[in-house]
Amino acid sequence: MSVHTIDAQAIKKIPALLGEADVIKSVLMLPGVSTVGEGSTGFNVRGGGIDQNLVLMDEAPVFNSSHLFGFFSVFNPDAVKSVQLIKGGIAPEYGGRLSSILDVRMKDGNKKEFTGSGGLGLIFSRLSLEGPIASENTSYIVAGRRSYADVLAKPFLNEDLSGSKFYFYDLTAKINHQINNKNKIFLSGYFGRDVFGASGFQFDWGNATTTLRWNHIFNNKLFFNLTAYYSDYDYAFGVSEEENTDGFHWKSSIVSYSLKPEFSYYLNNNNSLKFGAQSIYYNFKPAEASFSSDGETNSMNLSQKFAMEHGIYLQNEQKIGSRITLLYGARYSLFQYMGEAKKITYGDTVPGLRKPVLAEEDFEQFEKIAQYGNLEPRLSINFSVDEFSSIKASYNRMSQYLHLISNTIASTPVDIWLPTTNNIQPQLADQIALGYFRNFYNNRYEASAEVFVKDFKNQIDYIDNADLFFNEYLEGDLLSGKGRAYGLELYVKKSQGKYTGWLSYTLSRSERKIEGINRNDWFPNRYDRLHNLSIVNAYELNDKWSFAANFIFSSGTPATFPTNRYEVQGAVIKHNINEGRNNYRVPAYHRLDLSATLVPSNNEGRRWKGEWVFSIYNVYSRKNPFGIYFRQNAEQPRNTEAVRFAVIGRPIPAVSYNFKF
Amino acid sequence: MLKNFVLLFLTSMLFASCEEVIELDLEEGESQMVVDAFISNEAKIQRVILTRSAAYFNNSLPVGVSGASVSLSGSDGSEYIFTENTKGSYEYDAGNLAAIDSIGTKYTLKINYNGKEYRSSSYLNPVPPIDSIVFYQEKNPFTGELGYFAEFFAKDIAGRSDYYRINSFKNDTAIEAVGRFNLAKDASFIGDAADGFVFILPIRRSINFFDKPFEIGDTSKVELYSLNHEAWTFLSRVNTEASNGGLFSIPPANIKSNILDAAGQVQNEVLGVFSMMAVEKEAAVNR
Repeated sequence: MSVHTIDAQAIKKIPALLGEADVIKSVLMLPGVSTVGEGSTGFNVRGGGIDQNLVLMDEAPVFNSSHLFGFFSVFNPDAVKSVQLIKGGIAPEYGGRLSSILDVRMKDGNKKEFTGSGGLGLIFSRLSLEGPIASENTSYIVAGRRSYADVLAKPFLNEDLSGSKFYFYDLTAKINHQINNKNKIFLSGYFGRDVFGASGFQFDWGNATTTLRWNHIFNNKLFFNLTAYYSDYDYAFGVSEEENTDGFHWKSSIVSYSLKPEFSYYLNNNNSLKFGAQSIYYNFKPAEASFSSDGETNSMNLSQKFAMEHGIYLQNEQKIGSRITLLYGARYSLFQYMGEAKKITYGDTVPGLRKPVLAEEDFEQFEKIAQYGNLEPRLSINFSVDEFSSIKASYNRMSQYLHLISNTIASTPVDIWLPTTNNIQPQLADQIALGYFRNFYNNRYEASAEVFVKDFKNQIDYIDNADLFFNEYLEGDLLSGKGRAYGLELYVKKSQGKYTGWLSYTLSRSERKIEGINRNDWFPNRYDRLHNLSIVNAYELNDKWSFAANFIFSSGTPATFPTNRYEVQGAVIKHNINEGRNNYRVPAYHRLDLSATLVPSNNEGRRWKGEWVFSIYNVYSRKNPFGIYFRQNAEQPRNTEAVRFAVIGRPIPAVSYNFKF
Repeated sequence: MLKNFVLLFLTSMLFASCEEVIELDLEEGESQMVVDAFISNEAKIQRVILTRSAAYFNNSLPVGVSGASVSLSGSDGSEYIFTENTKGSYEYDAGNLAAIDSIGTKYTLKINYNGKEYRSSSYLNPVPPIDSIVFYQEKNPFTGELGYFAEFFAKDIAGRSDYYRINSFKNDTAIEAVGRFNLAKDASFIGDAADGFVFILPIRRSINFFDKPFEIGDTSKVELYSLNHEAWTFLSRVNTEASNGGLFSIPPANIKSNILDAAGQVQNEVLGVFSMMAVEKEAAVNR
């Protein structure tokens, strides 16, 4: 239950921004999933923050799953085999994040013949090549994308802006080898970067991951696999003048290495066990910076942080009679925050104010500074009422040891990831879900209704005006509290016939209570949206034409509005007399996208097959408000005004050409 | 034809975002007293302005607070009484009487209103001299033509954390927009690495209207003020809130005041800020 599997074909049917199929955009149409708006880099599942989703590419974690500030995801649809989103009833084999697992598996590569596919679009183009190497036992796939909005714009921009860059590229590759009939191995990697800059400044960020996996069959009951991965997420920005006498450069990164052995054992027809472990070693470099003025240079770094996260799990999937299936087990996770680092201790203060630093103690490399362990029981029950319907229930406890520190509405690439330390506790969540599932008309239609309740502990928030940038003592600006989320998800899907599609509707609430904010009362999370409706439709008219349409509706997100104003030194300053947070709502979000795909008849009988995709994003030009903010009028500074900001305020048409050979 | 399509597409993408001024009904809270007290070491009239806060969309001039008693005392034993001139404006004439200029002294502002006493303290922090103002020629990023831009040189005082405010002028027009403040921490914007350095280039060149360069004969005037940490924080927050919007906005927050109650504790009845300032000025004509 609480699982959705999307295959590569389905992803390509949904029109996305600029006619490009996108993995995350498809996931957003599922029940229980939402975002704060266009331009946000992550997504929210069942009332959880964007850092609470474990996004995996062939088992290696990806820290920023989007390009171009959230408009496209890092996953190249040509190289994706399957995508699975697990929102609840999470099995013991997964751990490390509270709200979901987005497990993306890459294609193995065509074992029989060399083929390729790709597309040319207005913002980026892609090419993927796959085929066997030497024999049917080895295959590879290489897929790349590069955007070129800046290259196209260059000749049209005036000289000083011509140095501007705004592009991304990514490369995904995998080699699969069947050693013998008991052993298989694959090596998979991803490398991607986003660059955004103009003359004098540049922002760039990206993920790089590599996974090596070995599958071994002992006998027809016992299987083993061993996964090793390396992941590097870094982001940098710099400002400089041509002569390089003045400048500022800043870079932050998280490097992790992991080893994960797992055994699957089919005890008997009714019981299949899985047990395994995982160890991850983290090296956080929150900031390495250098700074020059009038020729003099100074470098300053925030101290590195080191940590290890371990997990060990055991689960059993058991059939009882012909109707009941249980999945039960537990995961035990252990997190160690280690040196070489300074252990900083803070004193108490009025909640909501910066905590004073009490002491700093030096620790050697690998010396343990703080350690936390958590037992995470997991249980799922599936009861078949009859051939077509079933009732499911689940309980899971999850723990999370990595935290995204960000107080902006949309996460910026310079948001910081920190480990659990002696000051930051692990986040915990308990979720109970209950659902009813039914297939109609001989499996043509699937429908489900699910309710969930979640309780969160140790949620991180920030004091007013927290200093999160380049601050060695940023932990003193953090606050901690609890959260809760609950909701109802309805889903209907038709997957056969000329007309296919699905409808998801979620009714939910997500709130938190933090001492020091909103006078210690519950307040809605920034991503809380009461209603969330997505309707996806695809219609195949004939061999040549097919059409698709999506409609999305979500309730407005919360915002914090002032009650009063006062003047100091000519500035009109806003004031909220109730110290409220998220006390108002921005208007609702809704939009319609359409697309049409044309498969030319000359595709018949030839190797090169192409298709044209025409699309319009935001057809009826809705200026969906991302936020409302307040400012002094530029011409009359004494007048204040409320401004509604929309990220996309007009329809965006696009044409792209996809091919396969 | 292709060029037109690409240009049309890119402009539609680039200008796809938009802002619209809207009407909103906001809850109105109780009015509070506001203190605007920036007192300098110059030999001219020094003012402490007391006003009331109003409803957010009330665009009229803030109402002055009358009948308060305002005084300043230094840790060196000096006392200065501020008397109400126009409604809400409490003045001390440092032009005719003694200037408040003992660098390193701690000054305490006391305000008595409606039977309640409020106080705030600030050191008069040192400020470095401005070595020079020069003019350099560069292509105007907006028009593509050559123009003159001004740059000032000053070196941050080494060995201490300094907080500065810069007011600059082209002839007699202020460069800084109303409600925006040109601030520096040591020689830079943030962090501890810039102590003792020459002010960094973006700050040195911040004294220009980038769309209207200096002509020959124009004068560039720069005033460098030292502030205390709380006032620098206060004005930085004002800057942040003034541009707080769009994709990366942060939750708006009330700006903390450094005005304390009679016992020296943080209070939340009176808003605003107090800082002592030492000033250095320089001017140069573009020849």
